[in-house]
Amino acid sequence: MEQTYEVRENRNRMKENQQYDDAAYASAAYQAYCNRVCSFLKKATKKEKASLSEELYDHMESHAEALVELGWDPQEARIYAIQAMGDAEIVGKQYDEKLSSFWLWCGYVVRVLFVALALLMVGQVANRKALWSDYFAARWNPHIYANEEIKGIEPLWSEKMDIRVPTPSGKHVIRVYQTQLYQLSDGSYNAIVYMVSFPKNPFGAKTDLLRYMTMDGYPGGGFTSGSFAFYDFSARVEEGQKSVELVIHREVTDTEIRVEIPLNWEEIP
Amino acid sequence: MKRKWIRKRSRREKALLAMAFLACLLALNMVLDVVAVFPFQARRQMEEVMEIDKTEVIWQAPSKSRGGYTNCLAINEDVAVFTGFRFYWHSGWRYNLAILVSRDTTEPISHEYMSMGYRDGGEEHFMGYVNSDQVASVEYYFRWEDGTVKTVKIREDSYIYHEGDRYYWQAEDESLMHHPTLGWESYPIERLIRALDRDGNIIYQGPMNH
Repeated sequence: MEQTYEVRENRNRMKENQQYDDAAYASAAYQAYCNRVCSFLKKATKKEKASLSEELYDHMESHAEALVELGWDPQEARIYAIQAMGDAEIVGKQYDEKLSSFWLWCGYVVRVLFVALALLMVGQVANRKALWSDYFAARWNPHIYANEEIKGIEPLWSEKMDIRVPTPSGKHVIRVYQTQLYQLSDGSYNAIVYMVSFPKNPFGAKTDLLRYMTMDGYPGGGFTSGSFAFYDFSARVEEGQKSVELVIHREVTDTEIRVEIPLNWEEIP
Repeated sequence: MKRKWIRKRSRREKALLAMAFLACLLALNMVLDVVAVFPFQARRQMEEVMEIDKTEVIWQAPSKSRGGYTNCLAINEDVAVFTGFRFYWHSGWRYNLAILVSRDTTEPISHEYMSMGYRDGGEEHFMGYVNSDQVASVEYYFRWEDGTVKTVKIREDSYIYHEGDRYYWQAEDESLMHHPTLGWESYPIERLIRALDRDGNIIYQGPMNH
């Protein structure tokens, strides 16, 4: 056998030259065996060859060390450790047979898909970066978008509130966050209701129901993006009128939602 | 010095581990709804936005005019949704155009009409749900102030059939809405929809939803 011959040859050489560095010799012999095994790996990748080589090397080395601990001569132990591994060609070919191209490519494809999905997700988060601050404002601090005055007129009454308009799916929030009462120059009164809407999921989109929302028959206006909407509704009211009504009416799905928004005249001087 | 033995993972184990990671990422994506990786996710998003119950796709076909789009008709108990989906490499599946038509109607038809503008021109979409066996064709009727009349007729043979129900969806070029001489200067003053029986008699007439 070629391998046995190689080991014997090495042993003879060792005996001839007592000055030979034992560790270096062992390392070279282990490495030679590993290289020979790897030369029979046709289906292995470079990384797999290096990994197997390292594994075989470690195995031989620890085997030899165990023998030395049992009282063997170090040189004999190393030679025996190599011999015990068996024929390099058989070891290499047997290992090669176990390597499946299917699982290798399967692994590659799955990794590519993983990276692609991760990039898509990161891209979507980055894409919305301009909208995040408004989304968070819509969610936690919408009051910054309520008017403090309109054309120099301060509200007679202004109150922060948290009235939730129920939605059929329950996946969106429509929230009335502030209501104001103004007296116009002609003496009439105007109620302004500030409303914000956003999906509970920050990656979602705003509800279509907003298109069908009115207050006392008037549509609202404001600014919106794909994922949130700040609307205000304005309607003339009679002095002392107790409330205004927000209505969502969508005929096609027979959806009708009505919410009373209270007006407080008692605090008006 | 003894080295610590580390068991090397086989190709199968590595691939399965990668699959597990991919499954976790997909699950996270499904929960957060960041990107619609599959068309049904885009449909779920559409259902959430439109605030309707879960739908089932009963018909789909590539759009003739909008490259990459798949026109899709999805229904649930109450409504039919005429919608379009497209896959974008940078943002996954997205839907646009979601028109709801009621299926819960006592009229012979429930209908919609929509004008859609695209970069390379516009389209007029005519869609609806036919609720009566007698309706052999549906006619959209446009009349201009000077008496010019244009009609779009959708016949029985172009209906979409599903479990005994009939739907239609026809797209026409935007030039349909051009006045023959005035172009975009003039818009139709009368828009009607008619349902006709096999003898051509009007069995339903109403204003066009737009």
